[in-house]
Amino acid sequence: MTSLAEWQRDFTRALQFGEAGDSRLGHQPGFDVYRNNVRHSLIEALAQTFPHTRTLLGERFFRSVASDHVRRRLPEEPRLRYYGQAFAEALERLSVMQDYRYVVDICRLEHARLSVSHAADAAPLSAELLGQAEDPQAVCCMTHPASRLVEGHHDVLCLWHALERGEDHAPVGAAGDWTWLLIRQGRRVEIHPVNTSTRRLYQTLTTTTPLGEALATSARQADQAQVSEALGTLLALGSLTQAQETPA
Amino acid sequence: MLMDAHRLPRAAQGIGLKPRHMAELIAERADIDFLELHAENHMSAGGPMRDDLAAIAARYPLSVHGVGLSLGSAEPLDDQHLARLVHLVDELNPVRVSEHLAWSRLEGDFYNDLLPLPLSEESLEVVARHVDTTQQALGRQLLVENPSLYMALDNTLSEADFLTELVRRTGCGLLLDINNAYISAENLGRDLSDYLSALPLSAVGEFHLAGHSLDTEATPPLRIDDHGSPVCEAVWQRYAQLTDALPAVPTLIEWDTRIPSLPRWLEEAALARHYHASAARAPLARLEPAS
Repeated sequence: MTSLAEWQRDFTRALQFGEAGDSRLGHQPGFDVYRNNVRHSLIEALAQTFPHTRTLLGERFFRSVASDHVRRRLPEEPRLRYYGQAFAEALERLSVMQDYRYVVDICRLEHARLSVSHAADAAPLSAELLGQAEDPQAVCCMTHPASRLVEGHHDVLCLWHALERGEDHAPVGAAGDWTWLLIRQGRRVEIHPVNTSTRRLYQTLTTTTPLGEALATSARQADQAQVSEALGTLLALGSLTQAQETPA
Repeated sequence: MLMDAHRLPRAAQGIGLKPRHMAELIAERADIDFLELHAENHMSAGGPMRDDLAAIAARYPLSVHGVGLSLGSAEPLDDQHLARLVHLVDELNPVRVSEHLAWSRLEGDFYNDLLPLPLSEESLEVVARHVDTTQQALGRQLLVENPSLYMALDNTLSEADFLTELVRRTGCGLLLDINNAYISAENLGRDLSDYLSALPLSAVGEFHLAGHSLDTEATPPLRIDDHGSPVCEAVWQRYAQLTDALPAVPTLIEWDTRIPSLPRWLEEAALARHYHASAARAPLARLEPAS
């Protein structure tokens, strides 16, 4: 007699591979309802997560790409808002997208915005607070949990804002390497372009680090004035927080 | 401050909590006894949606309805997901916590549906173990919901016997989804009256009602539990009969696709009050088939 584990393995195989999978289960009347529910609900989850990507690709192409993605990769957990994590990479691998890489940038921004929207709350570290510390260099900081860095290939901010206004097209900015910092401010997530020094300092601070140490690391790749400016930018944007614990 | 959540009025009526209605529900107290939320949609570390949920919890009793714990998986429960559920329940102190007699996870993949479970002594042991683990982690009773089914499985236990034994072994309660029971009976050709009569009705801690659709392209046609329309007349009739037998049990009107405006949803809850009251005026001796 088939054990429950074996039966469930057969069932999932039939769900994923359709008629090529287990023939007995997959061909039973009613089985298609489960297969359609799984596929349709995951495509819908991607459509909810990436409304702007959907607008740019058009409904039919978006659903086709989403359907391929669902076939290749299932969620790892029930919180479907995290399901789109690898969708931008899947989009980028499509040869047809090589001339439309700005869509991948928009896709990455959408996923980052969703993560930032649901990330933990924390008090931002301000320049004033840092100035009051006995030894500012010894203050252990890290990046704010409700902030993310996104790197892209086109200047898509104008397009992003147009999409946010409900418009379906806008000029795509210059090609090149762009970095944006997303930070939650109240109920909104703001997107700010940042320079290389700011990106490097932010990346150094993704793990808890004494500020002096992070600044010294960044100073190996940029001059002191640039590093100071980068710190000023991160503090002004509220993208740092004071860590409670000291690093191991 | 949270509501004294374990108390609900007799025959309380609730509706689902959806993001699109949150501002309206916060701005003005709606005429509804409780709200039910899908646990997985509210497992956030922070942010505005979490703030809104705290505001809702201060105004309304809540019921937490999980859809992703996968009680029927033939592998241990996902500890991290269970911990997230415990955290949410601790924060909200809901009136009810419920999950499904179904499975959705296997070997690291999550299948986003309530998949059917073959009912046997082995699956009973699995589900009982998982319900027990969940109740111990939550420190409270879990209600387990009967499924809507689209295909017959090789069961060695009937669903009513399975649920009866699950209640006996774990002390869990039942969430009796009347629409699910109706759909399964219609799709699998089982007798709904016999099914309902065989359930341990004293364990029912909540009713669910919802609309469903009919897929006429399937052979034979199938009733699909899409929660996208008003409750159908046959389900209302069963509800009236069941509230006659269980007059104090709270009722939740589900609506997950083609979600209506808040006033329209509240009308459906008002209709549930009407059927409940009509049952009280004309009690029925037993669960007769709806005509």
